[in-house]
Amino acid sequence: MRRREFNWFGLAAGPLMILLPFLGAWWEFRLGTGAVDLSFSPFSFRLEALGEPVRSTLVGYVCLGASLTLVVSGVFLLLASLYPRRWWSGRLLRFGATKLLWMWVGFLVLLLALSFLGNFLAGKFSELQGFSLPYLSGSSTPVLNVDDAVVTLPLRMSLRWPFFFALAPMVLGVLSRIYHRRFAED
Amino acid sequence: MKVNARPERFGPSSGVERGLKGGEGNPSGGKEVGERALRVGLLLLSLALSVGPILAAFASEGWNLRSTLIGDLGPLQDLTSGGKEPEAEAGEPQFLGEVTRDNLPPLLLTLTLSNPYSFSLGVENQALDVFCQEDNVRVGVGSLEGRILGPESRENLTFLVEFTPEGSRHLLEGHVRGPYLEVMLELRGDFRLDLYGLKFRVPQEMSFWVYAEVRE
Repeated sequence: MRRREFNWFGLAAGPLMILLPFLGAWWEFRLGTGAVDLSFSPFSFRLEALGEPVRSTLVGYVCLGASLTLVVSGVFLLLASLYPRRWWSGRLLRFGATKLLWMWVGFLVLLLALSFLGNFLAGKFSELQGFSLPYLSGSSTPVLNVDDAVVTLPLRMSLRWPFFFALAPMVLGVLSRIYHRRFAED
Repeated sequence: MKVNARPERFGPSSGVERGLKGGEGNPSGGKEVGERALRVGLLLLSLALSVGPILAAFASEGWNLRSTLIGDLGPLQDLTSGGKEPEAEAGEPQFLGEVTRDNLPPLLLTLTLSNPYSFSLGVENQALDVFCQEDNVRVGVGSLEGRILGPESRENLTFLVEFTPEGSRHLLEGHVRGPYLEVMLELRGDFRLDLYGLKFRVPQEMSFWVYAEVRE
């Protein structure tokens, strides 16, 4: 009798993927001391302006969709890894293994693009001269001249630990997909 | 028996095995249907998870684009809608003591500031130069202790104007007409505001009449 086989990478990645949407924000942006507080990940979005929450139904639902997608991906990955030789296993694994990779890369690209766009626009408009955004993480204190007034905007961005934690299920997911080939080739 | 003992696998040969196991006429037919159904199911699931939330968001807001993108702006509404601006009103200046030919005591100037917004505004400690407007001579410094203006409130702030010896001399020698000191003073400098850690420096020039009896 043959020993039962598993896709070990998928077995490790699945539960972590299911857990990930509940670990909180990946990135934080803070302007002043509560003028704007933004905590953001593909699964959660919290914006407070001048001490009051600002809600976006669209972003809320999109985050909910992303959370569901990742939970479903994790469940599929687990099932496919527990039963790697079932005929449906490869397809479920393909569905679940790389979703997080695209979310992580997309998130990174979005943040970089926002900073890039902000800095690009700052270079184009004289009112925004002196304005600069850090990339991903860091702080700056741009000083803007608006009409006669001078406005100082202390801002800080930071990547949170769930962003780095997401690397684990992401890499394991990709490895599980590569490892799964052996079950097709046998 | 050997075939039945092998675990199932996906790939072209597994369908044949399943078919043989089940004794079907078309060995790969059952699996192919299943695979097709799974493929379609996963595609529909992907669509539902990506497009579904967007449609749900719009439906829950009555297909209104603006309220779907950004709901209640809260206090930001005050800033974006325009029409509201803080206002300052200077009161009657009062000397803290008797004005004599050789002594000019500090002066109190009450300033009523209104905050029309639904969020707090911080007025920082201020130190503005005081000038004799007619001769453009610096005569002292006006200082103000910082305070938080509550949402939609009016607060009385007090500027304390202290004259320099040169300033006192200028005013007492040049602006006393008969028994009265009569001069227009001007506060000049940057008025500093704090909005949740954002610092605003707004240049201000605010003039006011000073009128006082000069005792011998």
